[in-house]
Amino acid sequence: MFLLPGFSGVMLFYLLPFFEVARRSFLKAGNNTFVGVDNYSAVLENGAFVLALRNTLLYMAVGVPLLMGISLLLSLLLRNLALRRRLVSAMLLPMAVPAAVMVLTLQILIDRQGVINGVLTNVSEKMAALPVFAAIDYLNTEWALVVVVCSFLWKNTGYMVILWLAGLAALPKEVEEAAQVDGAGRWQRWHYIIRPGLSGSFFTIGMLSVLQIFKSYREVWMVAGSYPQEHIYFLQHLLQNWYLKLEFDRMAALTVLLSLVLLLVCLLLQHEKRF
Amino acid sequence: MQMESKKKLWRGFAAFMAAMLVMTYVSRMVYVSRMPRVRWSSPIEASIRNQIRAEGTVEVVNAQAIIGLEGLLVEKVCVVAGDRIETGTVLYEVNMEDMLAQLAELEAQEQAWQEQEQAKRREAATGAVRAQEDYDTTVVELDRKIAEETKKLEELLEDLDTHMFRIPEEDASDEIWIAWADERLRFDREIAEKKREIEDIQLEKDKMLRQADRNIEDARRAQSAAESGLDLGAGGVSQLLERQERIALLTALSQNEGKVTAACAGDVLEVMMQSGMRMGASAVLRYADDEGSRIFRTVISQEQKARVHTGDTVRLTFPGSAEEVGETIDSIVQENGSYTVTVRLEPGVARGRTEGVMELVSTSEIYDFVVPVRALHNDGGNVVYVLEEKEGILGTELSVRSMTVRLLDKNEDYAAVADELLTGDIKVVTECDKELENGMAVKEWGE
Amino acid sequence: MGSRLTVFAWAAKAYGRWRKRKMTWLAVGICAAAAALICAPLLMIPGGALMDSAEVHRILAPVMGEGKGFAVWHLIPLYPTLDHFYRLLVESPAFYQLFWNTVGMTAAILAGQLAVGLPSAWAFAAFRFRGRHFLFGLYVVLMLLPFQVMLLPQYIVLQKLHLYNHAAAVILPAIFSTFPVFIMYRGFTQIDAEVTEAARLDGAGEMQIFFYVGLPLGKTGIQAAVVLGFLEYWNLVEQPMAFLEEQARWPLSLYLPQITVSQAGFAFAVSVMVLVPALFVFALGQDALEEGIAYIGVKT
Repeated sequence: MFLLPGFSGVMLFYLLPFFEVARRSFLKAGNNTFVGVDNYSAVLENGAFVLALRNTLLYMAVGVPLLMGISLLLSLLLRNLALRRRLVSAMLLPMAVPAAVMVLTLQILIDRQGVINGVLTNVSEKMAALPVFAAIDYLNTEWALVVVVCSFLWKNTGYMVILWLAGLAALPKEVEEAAQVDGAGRWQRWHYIIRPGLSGSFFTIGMLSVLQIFKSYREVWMVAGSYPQEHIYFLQHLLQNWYLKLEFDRMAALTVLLSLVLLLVCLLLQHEKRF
Repeated sequence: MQMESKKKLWRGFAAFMAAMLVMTYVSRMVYVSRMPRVRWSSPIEASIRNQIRAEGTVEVVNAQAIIGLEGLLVEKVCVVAGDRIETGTVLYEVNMEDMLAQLAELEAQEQAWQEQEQAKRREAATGAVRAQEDYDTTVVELDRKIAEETKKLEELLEDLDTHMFRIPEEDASDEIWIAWADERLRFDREIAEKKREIEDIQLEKDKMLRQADRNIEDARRAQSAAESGLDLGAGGVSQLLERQERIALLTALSQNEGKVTAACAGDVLEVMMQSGMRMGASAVLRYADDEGSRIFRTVISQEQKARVHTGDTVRLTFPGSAEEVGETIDSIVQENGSYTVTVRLEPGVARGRTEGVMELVSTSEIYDFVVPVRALHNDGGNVVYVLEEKEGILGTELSVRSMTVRLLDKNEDYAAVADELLTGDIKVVTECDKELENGMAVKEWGE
Repeated sequence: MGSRLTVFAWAAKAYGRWRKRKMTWLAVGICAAAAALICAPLLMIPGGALMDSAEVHRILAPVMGEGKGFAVWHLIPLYPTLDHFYRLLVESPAFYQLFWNTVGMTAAILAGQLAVGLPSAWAFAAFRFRGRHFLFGLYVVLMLLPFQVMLLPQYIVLQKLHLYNHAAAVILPAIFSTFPVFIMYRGFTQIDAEVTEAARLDGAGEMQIFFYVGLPLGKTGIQAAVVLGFLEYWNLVEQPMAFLEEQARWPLSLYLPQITVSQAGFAFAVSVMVLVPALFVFALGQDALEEGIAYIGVKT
């Protein structure tokens, strides 16, 4: 069958390893003795895990709505513009930028003595009315999360805008125009026609945003290393550090946990036929 | 996007990839052409040979000196420095007149002394006789006295005997006994006294005899001294001998027509007299005895000193002669940073030479790691570059690593180095066509 | 009466149009601003690539911990130089080594994905079989899982297969990624079922249907998957870092982190070179990309 080669590969490289990991999650690293759910409890009680979990959820809770909101707004504005193509292309560019370059640029901008601080300081000095601006070491304070969120938005807005645009394009135009002729205001059009129509896209885009959040770990790691400021210490940091420290048992347990959660969420959503 | 621009894009993309391909090779070529090329070899176990060459001087160890004849006038000097003299070679002549005058004077002195001596002798003889006479007289005198006294003693003894006959009867009165006893006692006393007197005289006689003996001895001694002339004392004796020697010398000289000859063979080093000079007690000529020995002396630097040891065999050559000797170093003395080497020469070697050249080939101990001198970098000569394989983005490359070593020894071509990390199979760069730096990638010199 | 209405209507229309224009210009303004904001950091790159090291050092000294005050950035360098490009393109064979590594890797992955994922996507779209939904759901879950989750298990498998430190360690798992399957699937679902039915009725075999109906009609989906895949794998970082030990096998994305802020000029030059192929692909495939992305979002 058509499916066989692909599926066998998937089995080999994804499913089988996964079962292996699940197996290991019940063993202790190093001597492979059976310890039951010890690893799981160890993970759940681990302070780093709690911190990482908290941070990751916070990041998601802030990043996803912001991304979806901003990109939706932009797509609504863009949908009827002639310049749409060009602007969207421009917005997509960050996707093509290699992570290392983004990181370098980021470093130049947000360093305590970086360009942003420099500009802000200049401005606050020039305009005596504003309070004096003290340079912030972005990466090492709570501002770090702000930085991460902003770079996340920067990179993925274009991607989401296109998705929204596609979703909007799928809406039957006639209904909208009819409503417009009927005198429905913007808000009404939005509330009654557009929003419901986008509900399918809504979940898809939401999930992809979450996926992008996971992927953004790459840049975070490149900028801030394996043990960054505590507000931006995410689950992936935890996993990676455990990998490097060869603490495979905990890693396995966490992996299984995460996967189960994700699987659950996906099945739920699929059940509701959001796909 | 229009098809046109799409096609253009595709072409642009293809051109880009083609350019990248070309540049791949170009950059490789540039990289490789910039790489230093090296040759290498592994260190070997060897010893380092050094040739030490030093020029030095030949010196005479014991230059013999000929003392001048004090007081004589030099008439003619017959040799100069550098001359060769043999036994019998005339060295110089003295002024005959002057010498003969001196000789005459000395002889007169001698004569006077001789007469003086004889007079003394006669006197002493007389003295001896007299002493003997005195002795004899004394003996006779004393003997007579003794005889006299002895006779008196005998008389007393007879009286005593007589007295003893007159010993009282046993029943005689006490007074008689007492008187007899007193008498007896008186006799005893007198006898004792007399004995004493005799003893005294005896003693005196002995004394006088001894004295007389001594006198005789003295007189005899004086006589013999006078005979031999020893009564002059030590200073006087040497003076006497000196004069007599001088007389003998001058006499011999006069028989030789005033010529002074050499007593052995050698080379004249220095002539310290000239005609017309009156010689003093110092040397007038210095020469190097043939049988005497010479030494060779040279100065070497500290670096050379490290290779040279006392007892090493060196080869000495002397410019201007075909002579060649092998000798051992006698001593090495340090003086202000440089070292003086002395080599003792056998007698008869290097006669007439003042300069020489010492050559020594020193072979050091066997060192574990010897590399060509070209392998040493850095002014101090303590850095070598080791060839290694390095893993990098371009795969396995050859690279060089700098290694600091201690320089133990070297000559013109090779150097011995040491370091804990050295092994026999490391590859040391011996030639390179560009400056090397630690970590640089290099390639081997292809022919 | 009619003319008054007409005038009023005309006025209203004009007013509406004017307002629309204003709205339009406002919308344009906002979007342009957003686009500019997004692109601004990108403009640093070519400027930086042309700056010579002295200038870079001067303006970035604060960031490198060597100066007081703040770093500034000149969008247009004061003393432009081609030094960095020369150094990169002529003097660094390492760059080319990694470049071709990346090209090879990406091409292999994309080719593999087409070979494997394409049939899989077609299978999901064209056939109805039991467990289709569940399996597809599984595929989706796998698509969403971040790499770190898979890091350990894949490491184990690769070790067992003796593929560790080999390019295949990165290529093979990527070939079987379920993301392209997903995208291509969406592309195929756009095809009217009637067309396939008609083909079947005509007696075409499954393979023929696949080649002559599916492929041409699903082209946009395929192209989208290729473009997205390219962007993803051209900049792949985690897998090579985890699975490739030998530096000689690394992709370009790992060349950059070795360069520090002090070599910013050079780093930017490298960025430019890394971006160029991506931009080419981007430009060539943008249409398909947009359509492809759209497929993800559209409700079935």
